[in-house]
Amino acid sequence: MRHFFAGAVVLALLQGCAAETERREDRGKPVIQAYEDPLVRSRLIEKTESPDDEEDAPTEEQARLDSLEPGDKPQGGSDEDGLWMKMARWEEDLSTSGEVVEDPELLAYVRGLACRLAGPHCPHIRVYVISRPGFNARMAPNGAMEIWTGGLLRLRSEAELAAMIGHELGHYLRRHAIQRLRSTRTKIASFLEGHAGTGTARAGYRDLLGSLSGFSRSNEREADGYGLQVLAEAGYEPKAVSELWRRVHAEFKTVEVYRNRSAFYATHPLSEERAEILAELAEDVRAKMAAEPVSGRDAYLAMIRPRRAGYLRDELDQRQFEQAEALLDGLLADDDPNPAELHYFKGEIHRLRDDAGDPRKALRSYDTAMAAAGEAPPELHRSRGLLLRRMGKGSAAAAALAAYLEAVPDAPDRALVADLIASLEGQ
Amino acid sequence: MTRPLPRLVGLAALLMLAACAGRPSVVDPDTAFVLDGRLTLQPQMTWDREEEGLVETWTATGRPRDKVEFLQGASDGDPLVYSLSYEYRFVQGNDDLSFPTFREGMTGLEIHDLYVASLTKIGITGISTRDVRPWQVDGHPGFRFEFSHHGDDGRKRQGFAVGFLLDDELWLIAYTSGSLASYQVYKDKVEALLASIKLR
Repeated sequence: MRHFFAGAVVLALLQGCAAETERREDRGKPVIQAYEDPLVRSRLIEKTESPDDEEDAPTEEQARLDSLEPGDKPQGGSDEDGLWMKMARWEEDLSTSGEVVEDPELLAYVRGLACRLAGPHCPHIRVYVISRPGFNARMAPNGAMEIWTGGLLRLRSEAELAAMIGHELGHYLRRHAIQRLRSTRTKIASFLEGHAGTGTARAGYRDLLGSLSGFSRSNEREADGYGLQVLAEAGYEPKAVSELWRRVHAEFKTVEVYRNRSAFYATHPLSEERAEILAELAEDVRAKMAAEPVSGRDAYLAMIRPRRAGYLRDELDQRQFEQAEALLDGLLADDDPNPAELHYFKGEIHRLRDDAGDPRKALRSYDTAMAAAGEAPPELHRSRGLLLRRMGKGSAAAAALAAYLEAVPDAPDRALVADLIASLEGQ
Repeated sequence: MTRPLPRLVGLAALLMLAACAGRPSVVDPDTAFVLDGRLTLQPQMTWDREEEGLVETWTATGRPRDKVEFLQGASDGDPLVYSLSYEYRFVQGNDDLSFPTFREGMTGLEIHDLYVASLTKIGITGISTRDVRPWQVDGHPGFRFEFSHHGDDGRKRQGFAVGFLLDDELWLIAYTSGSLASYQVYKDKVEALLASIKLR
């Protein structure tokens, strides 16, 4: 079930989808049927294959699995039925958990887009927005989809959101979860037969466990292909996929835990080359679109910007400062209309990290935020006051804290801030 | 850049958790209880207690329903959170141990922020705090705040926390309740417990 959108690139399906777009005469034909076309290997596919892919390729049995038709449910008593039942329980827990975002406007927007992309499958797809930092979305085999707020924070347009949702729909429609379950079962049986009682058992078992985390590379590629296809069919800019991919790669390569974890890269190969190939494929798809594609950037940003400060605060609480800095630099480089907010959070990175030179950088960022276009959160004054106090500038700190109380008269920490101001003024 | 010390402390905390958890004992309501040789309090009632690293936890009816946690003297570089939730570690797949950490010289405001960040880090959502104010323990300056948040079971939790510094180390005592009924039942007991604290 688990997956990160980041996705790998190019399965034959990508080419299949491009070829299909060219062939199709009926533009109103449901996306799902187009998806059933035979896979076509091409120069681009060959270029992206790696030696690891052979082991990862779907088995014949998996490849024969039909895609879900609208309303399809597993046969009672089957392994897939059991999987769906487990996921139904998971979904029940999820839907009542405190993590589910209850924001009618945001939910209507995200669910509306998902419904549009899912077409006839819409009544069987349930989208949950989860309050969680980090870039992720997940799809359960029973049609429940999770989109994390950390994912929404990193997207720049409706087209990118469509790419993310389309990718997840691909996992659902192609029944990747049951494919993975069956593949896992086969691998375990094969492992037990070949290694039990041998000296290589422990190492082999470790490798086996590694191979079972998340969907396979081929699953991810297939899902990416689907994402690109539904994106284009809905009239969105196909280049959004590679743009998103490139940005996420730039951000995540700063994180030590991801750099050093082969499991993530095993199923999510984050290479510039793959992003380039996705861009090439996007050009092909784009050339065949009937109308000029749209990005939906303004509509997306209008929805996300009022919520962005909370998402950014959650990111900073992860204490992955390099990653957060890469994220903010990316947003700043993207002609953001509220740079004041972004500079404030850059200041927060430096204040909280507090390495050599950070306090000065923090102060500089806060000053930049106050002069920049847009509006920084009023907590800027509080942060600035705490920083100045730490730098030994008591009276300036007291003034900044007083500015915070003036900006937020009903601040929940008013009494403690006032107490700190009094102690600073008494020094 | 990730600093190595907090990571090591976090890892050590996990190891301690594995080594020490699961050995509960009972707190006698009528005997003064000494924490880390530096603080005495009157328990007010019978509690089940467990110790995990720097954190001592007391509960009357089970941790999901109510708990009083005592962080006993976090030093510079120590995280406040000493255990990873199942959701955080295995469902979200996080190997990341770069927890928010206490730094010497922090104000009550910064420690309050640190508390919120620590909860967010382990996947707790809907965190809200209010009435953040000065507070005194046995005449020693400290701070206090009320909080609420959602647990990973979706239930809303509420409680309050007090904090103070002893010899540049952070002491934090947090009462968390899993229901309004439970909160009302034990709130006064915990308030009395806090009022009974004597520094040694």
